[in-house]
Amino acid sequence: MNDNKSNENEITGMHILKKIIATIRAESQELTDAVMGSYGTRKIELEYESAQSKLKEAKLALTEMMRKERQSTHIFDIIVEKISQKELLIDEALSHNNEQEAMKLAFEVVDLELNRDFQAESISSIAKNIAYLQGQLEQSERELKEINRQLTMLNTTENVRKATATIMGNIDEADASLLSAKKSLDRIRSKQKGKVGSSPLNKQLIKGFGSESSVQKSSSCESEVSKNSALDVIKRIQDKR
Amino acid sequence: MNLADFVIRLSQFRTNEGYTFECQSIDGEVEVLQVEMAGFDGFPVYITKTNIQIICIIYLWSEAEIIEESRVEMLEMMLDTSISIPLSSYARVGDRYVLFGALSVSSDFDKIVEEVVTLNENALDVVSAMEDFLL
Repeated sequence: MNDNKSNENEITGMHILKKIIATIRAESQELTDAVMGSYGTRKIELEYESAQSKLKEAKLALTEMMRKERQSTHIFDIIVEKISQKELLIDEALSHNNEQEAMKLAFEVVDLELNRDFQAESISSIAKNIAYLQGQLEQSERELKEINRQLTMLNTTENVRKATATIMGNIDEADASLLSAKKSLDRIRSKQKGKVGSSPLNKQLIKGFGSESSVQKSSSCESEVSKNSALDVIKRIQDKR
Repeated sequence: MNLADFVIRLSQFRTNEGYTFECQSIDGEVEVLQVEMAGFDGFPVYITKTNIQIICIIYLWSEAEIIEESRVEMLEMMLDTSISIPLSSYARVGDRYVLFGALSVSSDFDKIVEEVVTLNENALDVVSAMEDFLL
């Protein structure tokens, strides 16, 4: 039981094309089930859903980070503006020899500068987080694309097999002799010969340009074709019996 | 494109070369459409659809129809010629060799028609070229 489970895990861990090749080579029902069966497909579908959910989370987190970055940058700009204003006021106070006022403003500037540095640090940290999240997002996108590609391969293999089974069942019911490529080719050739011999264009060409002997040749060709066609009919009916 | 819509459109369509199409839906586990070109003596084209692809298939021959001693030569010939065949490739499904063309599900009607016509022309060429390898 455990052996089966570890074997199953090993199988599902393999690359999907390798799994399909293994299935085709082994033609074992167990492998077919592991690759094509509902378990294998469901496992990949679950991986796809998980990657999609990771991607959604990463996108939400990125949006939140970008909002924080914009907010912090806005606060940073306000502080810088305030510092400039306070510096102008200090300059003005000093020009009026109002040192007390200048000192008071200077303390305010120090507080603002501390806040500005804190905001700058925060912006830098957010930027790093954004870069990390963007990396995660790209990673999830790649993962999603890869899983989707694997699902497509599984679905295509499964679909073509099912379609082939349906088509073959349908042809078998209709006329088994149609399955032979050579017979089909012979049938097509004889049909084409028939068309060349009896086509109005051909008759017109013979009438307009052909010699008597070429017309005779054509007639013998046509009768040969008719004979072949008649033989084909008999053969077809015999095949059906 | 929805296969049901495609059938209706294709059944009423006539190419510049004068080909028309006889379509038939085949009931089964997956949706399959059989298309035969009226005015062209060829093979039926089977169309099926997955989530991202439309696959057009012509069944060429089975393993049982290959002359055993020519099999390797035939396979090499198929590999050598595959790239030269426009819009189509060889494949094997179970024991059946097929010629197929795959298109995106977002392909427009004209592209699918082009694939069906080209596939049919290619299949006739392929069977003629490979008949010496077949029983």
